Amino acid sequence: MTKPSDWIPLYWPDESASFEWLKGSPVNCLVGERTTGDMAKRSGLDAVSISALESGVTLIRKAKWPKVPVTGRGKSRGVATGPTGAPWVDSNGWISSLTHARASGKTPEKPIWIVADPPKDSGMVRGEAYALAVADAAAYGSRWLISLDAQLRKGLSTGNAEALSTWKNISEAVQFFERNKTWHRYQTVAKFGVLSDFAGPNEFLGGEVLNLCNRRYLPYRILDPAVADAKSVQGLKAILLVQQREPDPRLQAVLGEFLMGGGLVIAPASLAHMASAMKAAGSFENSYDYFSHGEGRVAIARKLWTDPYQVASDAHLMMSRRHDVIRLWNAGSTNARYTRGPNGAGLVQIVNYATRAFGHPVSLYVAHPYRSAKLLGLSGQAPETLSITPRGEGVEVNLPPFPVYAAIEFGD
Amino acid sequence: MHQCPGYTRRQWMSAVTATAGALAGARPSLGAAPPTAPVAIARCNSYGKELVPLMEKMFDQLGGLRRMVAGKTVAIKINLTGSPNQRMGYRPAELAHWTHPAVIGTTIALMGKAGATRIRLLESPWNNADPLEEYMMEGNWDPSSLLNAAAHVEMENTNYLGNAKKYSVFTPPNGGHMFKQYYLNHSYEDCDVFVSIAKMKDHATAGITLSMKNCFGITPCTIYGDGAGRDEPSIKPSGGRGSVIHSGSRAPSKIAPAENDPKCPRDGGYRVPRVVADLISARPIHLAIIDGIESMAGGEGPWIGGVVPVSPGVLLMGTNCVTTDAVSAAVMGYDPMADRGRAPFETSDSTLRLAELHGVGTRDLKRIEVIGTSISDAKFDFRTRRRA
Repeated sequence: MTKPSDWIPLYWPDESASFEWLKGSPVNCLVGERTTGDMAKRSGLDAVSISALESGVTLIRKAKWPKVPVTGRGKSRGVATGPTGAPWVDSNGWISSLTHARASGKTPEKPIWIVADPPKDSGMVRGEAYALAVADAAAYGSRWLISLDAQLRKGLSTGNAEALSTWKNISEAVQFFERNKTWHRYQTVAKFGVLSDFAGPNEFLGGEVLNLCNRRYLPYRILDPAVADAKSVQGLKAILLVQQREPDPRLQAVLGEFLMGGGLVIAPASLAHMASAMKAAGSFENSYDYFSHGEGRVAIARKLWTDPYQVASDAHLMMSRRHDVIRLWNAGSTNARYTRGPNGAGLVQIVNYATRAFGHPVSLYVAHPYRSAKLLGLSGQAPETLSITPRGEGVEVNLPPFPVYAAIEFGD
Repeated sequence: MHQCPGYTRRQWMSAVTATAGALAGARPSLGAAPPTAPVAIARCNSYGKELVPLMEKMFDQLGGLRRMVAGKTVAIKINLTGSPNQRMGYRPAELAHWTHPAVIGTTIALMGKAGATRIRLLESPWNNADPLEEYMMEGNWDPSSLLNAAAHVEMENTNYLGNAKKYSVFTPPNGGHMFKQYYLNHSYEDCDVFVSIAKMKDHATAGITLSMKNCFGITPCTIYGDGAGRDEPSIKPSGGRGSVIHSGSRAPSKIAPAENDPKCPRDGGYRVPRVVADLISARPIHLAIIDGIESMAGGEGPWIGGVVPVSPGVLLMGTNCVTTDAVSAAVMGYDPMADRGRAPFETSDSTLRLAELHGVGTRDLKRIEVIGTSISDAKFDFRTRRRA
């Protein structure tokens, strides 16, 4: 039996199907609702029931089907947009990142699977939408438990050409990430930290802040208040405390050192008393009071946080965009993840939730003076060398149109 | 080369004096011939080091910067229209729809050298109240290069109240074409000299956008925006100015007067040019600079379908915004005397004519002295560059 970390799973609720069409596909594990012995026999693959998975796999069951949500009907039908006019996207990137951060010290080898079914009322879902589900999970180090709509399952069982074409999209996407498995070991490049237990009163706000930081192309390092230390905050410029309770003395010492070194700590109104002995140092937008400590500053919210968008936006501005590690243009419906490998290679993965190419093509800035860049796409074509334009401290690259996903590998 | 051969140095000096009068708040009376002032044109094909001597020469051609800015607080309205995340194809915004930082920086440096005591960069960026520096960084600009171009340079986002206690009130002449008063951020009052640095572009609603249309963006969206408060201005701006100004589907916040004629057309081509003419006559522009080195044709930003990059390779400046825009329109291949129905005003009224009606300046090329490169030598036909 294959190790859970090597499973490439397909959820298949119908035990009586034929699996001929799976031959040659990357899938090596079927996941059923209950008994699976017959499925294993007929498919020649590993087969497990979903209830038996938890011991070997971390399942994210709160995941969403990734997409750009559409609201309204008829003439009022349209894409929902946020306060900046950028479209909302349903992405699992933040919850993947959070789950990985929580597992890192405990069960780092346990794979994390996204459980998200395709919409039931859309007929046969497009191949690009499935490729998006694969990419939305894999770009953040997780794996999507492949789950097909009823029409597609039926079509595959009967050899329907359109269904087989859709399956090809899924297979190509899965194979792409299998070929690039080492990317999962890359570390997120971030100058912004979010410190929270993401539980109780901090759960909703903390999760939404992570989600909205992704939408702002503001990469973050998730800091666990129980274990955060000087090393885990190294390289950060700002730390946002989504934590209503006062940090314990050990954590206070860590944050104190961070402040002495010139960092910015952004704290909720409930922690205002912690700055009472510090020197006032101005304010931000009538929303935060600054206090100086060593070379750094503490920003205390004047009011209770209620709007995660505003929290993420204010935090980004207080840290300042001068510390942005990436910037994108014409990329409204995308999220991007910037990581760096052990050899210093940079990797920016861009996931396009619109599943179609944009009107104007995307440009990307990375705040590092890389000397080479190549573009990789899901279809398995040879990497394309991109020309690099130096810009400030970093470089810009222009990307050809892509419907779902683009990976840009940078080299020094 | 002077394009108006009968125009003498003395006449030009009197025009400059008329501008100085405008600086002091003097306003031409209705019926008088609208004033004129010379416009300097120079060919320039890049944003490199040649910009400094070139702009210095152009300022000298207009009478020198020292006379205008020494000992003064200068406010400069720049054009950072649209979202900083949007580009026309791969072109950075400054090579398409934003005024280029090299033109802004050179202006700041030369004004500092000429003795300006304080220089303030102003813009009301779309849909936000972020510090202007942060907005620029989102577009991948380095604001420190502008802040360090002279001593005492500041920036302010004027899309909301900012740090002031109240909005400043501006009153256009003759009751205004559209509103009898405009409520603006304090920065437009707290200055001695007001400069508009615009990009040379077509405009989907107003035909063209130059130094006057650039000032459409001085209206704060907390009062004139889609998300403005009904009674009181909103704290932060939300959305653009489409519903209050373009379509008139709602009124501004009640702190500001409603439009003069609630029955007037709900057509952006009627309304926007009138608001622009009102604004620039209520808040006079003392120096107009048009960045036409790299730009776009077919519209004012990448959100307009069919826009194309263009390289007119030209800079213009003048002390009267109407004469400067009229000459710029001619350089773009348009007739500044044209009105609704003729290019570039096929679907709009002419801001040039409406500003002229307010007595701000003449759009009649026969009355405008052109210094430096002639219109014909600088001409770059925008219309033929448009994508079908």
